[in-house]
Amino acid sequence: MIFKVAWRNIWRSRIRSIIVLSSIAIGIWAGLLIIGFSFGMNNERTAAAIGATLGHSQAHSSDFLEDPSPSAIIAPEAYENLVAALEAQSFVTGYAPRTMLQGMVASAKQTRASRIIGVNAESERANTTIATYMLEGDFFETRVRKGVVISEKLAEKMGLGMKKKMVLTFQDHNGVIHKASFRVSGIYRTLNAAWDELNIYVQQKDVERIIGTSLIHEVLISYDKSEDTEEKTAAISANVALPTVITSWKQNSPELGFADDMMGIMLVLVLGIIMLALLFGIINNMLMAVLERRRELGMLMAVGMNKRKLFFMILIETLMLGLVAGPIGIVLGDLSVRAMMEVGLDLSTKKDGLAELGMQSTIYPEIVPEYYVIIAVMVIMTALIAALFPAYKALKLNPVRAIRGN
Amino acid sequence: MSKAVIEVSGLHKVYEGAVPVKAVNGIDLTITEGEFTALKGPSGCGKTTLLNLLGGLDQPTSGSILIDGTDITALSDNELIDFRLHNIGFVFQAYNLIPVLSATENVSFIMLLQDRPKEERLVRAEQLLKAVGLEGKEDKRPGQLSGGQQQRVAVARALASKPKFVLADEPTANLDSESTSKLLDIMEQLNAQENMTFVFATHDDRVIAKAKRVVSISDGKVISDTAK
Repeated sequence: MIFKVAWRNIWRSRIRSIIVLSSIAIGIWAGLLIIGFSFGMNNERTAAAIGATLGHSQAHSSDFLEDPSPSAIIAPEAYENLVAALEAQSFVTGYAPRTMLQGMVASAKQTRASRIIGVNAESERANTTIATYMLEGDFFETRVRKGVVISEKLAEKMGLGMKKKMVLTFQDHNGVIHKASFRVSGIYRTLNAAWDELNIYVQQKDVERIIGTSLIHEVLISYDKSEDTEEKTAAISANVALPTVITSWKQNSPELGFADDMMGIMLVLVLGIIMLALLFGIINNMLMAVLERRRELGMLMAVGMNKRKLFFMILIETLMLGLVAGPIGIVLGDLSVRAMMEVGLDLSTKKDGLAELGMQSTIYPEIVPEYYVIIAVMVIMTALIAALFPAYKALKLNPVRAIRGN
Repeated sequence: MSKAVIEVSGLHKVYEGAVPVKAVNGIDLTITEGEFTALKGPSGCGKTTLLNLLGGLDQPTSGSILIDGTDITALSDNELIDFRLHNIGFVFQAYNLIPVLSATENVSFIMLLQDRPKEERLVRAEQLLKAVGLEGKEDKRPGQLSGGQQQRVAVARALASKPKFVLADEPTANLDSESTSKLLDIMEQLNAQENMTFVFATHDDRVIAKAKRVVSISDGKVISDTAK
């Protein structure tokens, strides 16, 4: 009957209860949308970075991780061992060796520092999505000697276009400086503006011809699924001897890894702030309910309702607010996220800013089931905490005075 | 000889303040089982204070109150609450029913606090409501009942816990003549048939006229004690 009393008490002040229930439901709805969009944005950004440039994991010589100099190569024997280790794992779907050189690129207009990535075009196309980001030309599909693929941003800054000449200057593993002219054979634009500005692609075989030998500094590794990257990385590492080191995308792009790790904490903080606002709303509502019912509560104490039962009654009443509004908010939030998954949130007016952060202009939210549980627990906790002060006030009532309405 | 239900001796209640008020100033009183007693006196004479002390709602400054042999002044807060639940029935001037519950639920609620089984609660609530003449009104909420009917629900509620006695503070103050007469008849009947002890604090002549014993109080003291 205590539950029945609590339920009916909620509806004694219908408008007030509807307002507080709505605020709880809207708070949860907003929380779920924030979670959905945050995960959508982050996962999209991460997936794009992994797909286009990072790969799930990468292999380097340990020297390269400390100082990415041209001499920090994966030696031919170590490369063979690495390939054997990769091919032994069923979850490895492919790999792409890269030559990584720091150098200068010059056009008629200006000279800039750049990272020159020498690729095996076929394996790069097979293991990354870079070819899908081409705006002009292609990613070394058309046979071209000494072609270079640069970003749209770099092309604009350096005043370059298709088939225009640019001069690359770089140092080889022996410290010898080479200078060679290339022609723009493709222009790309990934979602990551910072990557685009720094990196240009050439074919490994062209680099080989210039410096006279094959150099491998980095091997991009692709997995069948993005889940458990750390475990998969560790599994390969176990079969690879030093100085070759396997690192996951989180280690290779610490800012992306940090964003991924921090997002959970940030979202719980955001939910905490929402719950804090709700907490005061619920306390206010329940405090009014208790003070309005002083006579009744005084009577109950007089006739023999003990403090434990009185506390429990207020607690149940407060909890019911959360239990009614919580599911409504979760259902509304879930429906809204599902609807937005279809249409997305168009932020094309902020396109350039989003591109700087490696994001697309239309954001699609994601459903993250574990956060539904977190929200449900937080709502219950909030209701329980909110019940404490009103229940304390009720327990402090003097029955004789309360019955008189004082 | 009937057994004493309430035994009060040397009871004092002083409200401290700039000028201390002696609300109860040395009362000795014994009420035996089955009595129908009115505590009468003008407003501020101390009768409600005495009633609150008898009901364990307030603590005396000195003196003892034995209820069925238990000194309630020696009980802790929690023990007192439990004692009230099982031994004392209350009827208040303003009825003080729970507005969101029906008449039956209001009566059964106190039995719920006693952890009695649901079946027993419902049967007893219906019996009591029938006894106070509210047959057919069991599902009505307080807002759907007249003042007199509400006070009869309150009487049924007071009896629901099977108390040793019922304390009623100005039970007829908010009622018209007809309702008062009906309520008094019911209480008189319960007193006669079930030997239920009633103690009223009142200045209503209609209640005083029905009482079998009238204790007059003035300035916190018993000035007369008349049995009819």
